[in-house]
Amino acid sequence: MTNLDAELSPPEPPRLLVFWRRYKRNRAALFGLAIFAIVVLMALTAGIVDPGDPLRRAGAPLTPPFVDMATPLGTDQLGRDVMSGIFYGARISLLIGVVATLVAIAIGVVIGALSGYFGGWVDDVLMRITEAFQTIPNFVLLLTLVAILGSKIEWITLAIGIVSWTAPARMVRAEFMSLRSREFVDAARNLGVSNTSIIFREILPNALPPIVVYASVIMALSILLESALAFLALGDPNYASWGNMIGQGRAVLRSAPYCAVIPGIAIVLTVLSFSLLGEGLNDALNPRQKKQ
Amino acid sequence: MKLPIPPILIYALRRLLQAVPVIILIMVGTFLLLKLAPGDTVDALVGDMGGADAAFIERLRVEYGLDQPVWVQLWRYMAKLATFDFGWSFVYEQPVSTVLMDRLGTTLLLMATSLSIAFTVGIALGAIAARRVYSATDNLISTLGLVFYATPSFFLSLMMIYLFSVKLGWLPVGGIQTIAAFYKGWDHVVDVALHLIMPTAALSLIYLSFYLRLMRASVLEVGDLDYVRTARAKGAGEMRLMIHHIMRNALLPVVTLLGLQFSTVLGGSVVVETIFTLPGLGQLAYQSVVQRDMNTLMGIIFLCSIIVVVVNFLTDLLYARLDSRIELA
Repeated sequence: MTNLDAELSPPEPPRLLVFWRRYKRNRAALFGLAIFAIVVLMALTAGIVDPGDPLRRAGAPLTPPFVDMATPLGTDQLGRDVMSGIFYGARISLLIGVVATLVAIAIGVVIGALSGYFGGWVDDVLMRITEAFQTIPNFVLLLTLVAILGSKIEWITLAIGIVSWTAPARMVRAEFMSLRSREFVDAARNLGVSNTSIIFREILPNALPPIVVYASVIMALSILLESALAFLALGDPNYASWGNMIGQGRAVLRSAPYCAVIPGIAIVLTVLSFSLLGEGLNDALNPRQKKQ
Repeated sequence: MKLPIPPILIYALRRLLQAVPVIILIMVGTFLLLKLAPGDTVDALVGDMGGADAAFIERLRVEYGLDQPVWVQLWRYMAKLATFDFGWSFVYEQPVSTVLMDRLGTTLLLMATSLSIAFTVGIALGAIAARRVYSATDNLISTLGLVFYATPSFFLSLMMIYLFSVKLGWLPVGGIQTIAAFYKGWDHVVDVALHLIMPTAALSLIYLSFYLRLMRASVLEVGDLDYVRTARAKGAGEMRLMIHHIMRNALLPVVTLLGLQFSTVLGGSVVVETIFTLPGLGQLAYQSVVQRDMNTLMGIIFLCSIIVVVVNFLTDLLYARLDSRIELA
């Protein structure tokens, strides 16, 4: 603690600046941030930089990459532009990743908070439910949910959130159990603050940092889950998706492997950037944990 | 005189009792969930027949008990499940239990081989990386771990198929055996092993990265503890230090992860088995979702839950074996 205090005093720099200084110490995390920025940029500019509709014919089928300037990354067996698929796929992957993560964290926070704060039978019941969700293989549950709800993108996102909330729930529960008997909580309770208010305004802000770091893991896993669904042709057919491109590239793997390789590299880099971002955030938020 | 019951049996029994409500919860939840799905078995059957008159459809519904309220159907299903009767698969025209047992072996074989490879190689690489922390070896191992962690299993599988089957022609693309060959004895074993190399490699390379990263962090943490310094001061060599002193404690979180992760690995086999057309439970799960074979799907979920519970029990035993401070029961 002492050297941390020394580092911050006397004119305390803004918190964001301290955060950034700690973050940029990790060079891999900077690399992750760079890739992440590129993916976000691709998602935002899809349709502007690369005008083609990813589901429409853009050139002769199976044009290899770097041959035709209209389709710089080539075309698939139906003549669809691989590059616009990558751009629009980035949009879908990020969208599903972010929304599914929010859903998972929201469910996890509510369940974990209730069970950690109240304990007793509430905890017992909620933990049995959590165990049930942890026991059933998540991809099998995801397939079942998609089979029932249908392959619309909203339902797929919701289903991914539903299968990923158990880990954050357990983390929130552990944080709440250790925080619920602290003095500031007792003080709030004695002042007559309601349970809801204690949970969300007093304890939750203190429990959030590890959840924020873990969000990057959920985001990476959600993108992998979505691409696996799309690969199995259970994704939403109305949107270009990297997983779906790989699934269709499988049919022409022998003659045109780039149809599967290019979107595959896109997924690997995106998920990699989330892992690196998560590590950087962890270093920056828990500076005492890392010993160089 | 009362016979002393070994504590491990009492522990096993207690774990069994704890697992029952979870499994019941899963099955009730899945049953109700599947009832929400549009269309029922009779709709699927009539669709297959190409249509039938209303009276016949009504008679079929009565015959399958689908005219009853959902709660009655649920009760009947759970009562049958309690006797391990999973019902009839209308797609395979066989009892679901027969279909499941046909597929169970392949999945268990795939799980056992890929998890043991992932676990042993993962902890070995993790330990090596941690002992040479921030060296070139560590950087290489850690980078590979990160990359495999980020690679979707289906992409890795496709790339392996492209390299080893399409380009080099060394390994078969899919299936569990060469269909027309009818190998016997040793040849059969070799044939199955050849078919399993790529799926096993795909699954184990991805889960290896989880164990590797955790083991590296864990060894780094344990390696700083006082008792390790004492052992080093006493003159223990690096090898002895690692195997006798550090490994045992560093393994604890990795074993926990092994248990926690198992259901995810089982889920991952859906994709890998589907790509390599391995006749296992994962491929069956995918097919029954696509073909709306709900009885089979329920059976798979039940069987998978049981497997996960058993594996978690085994990892707890392993945990207690590694850390003698933990007492069973």
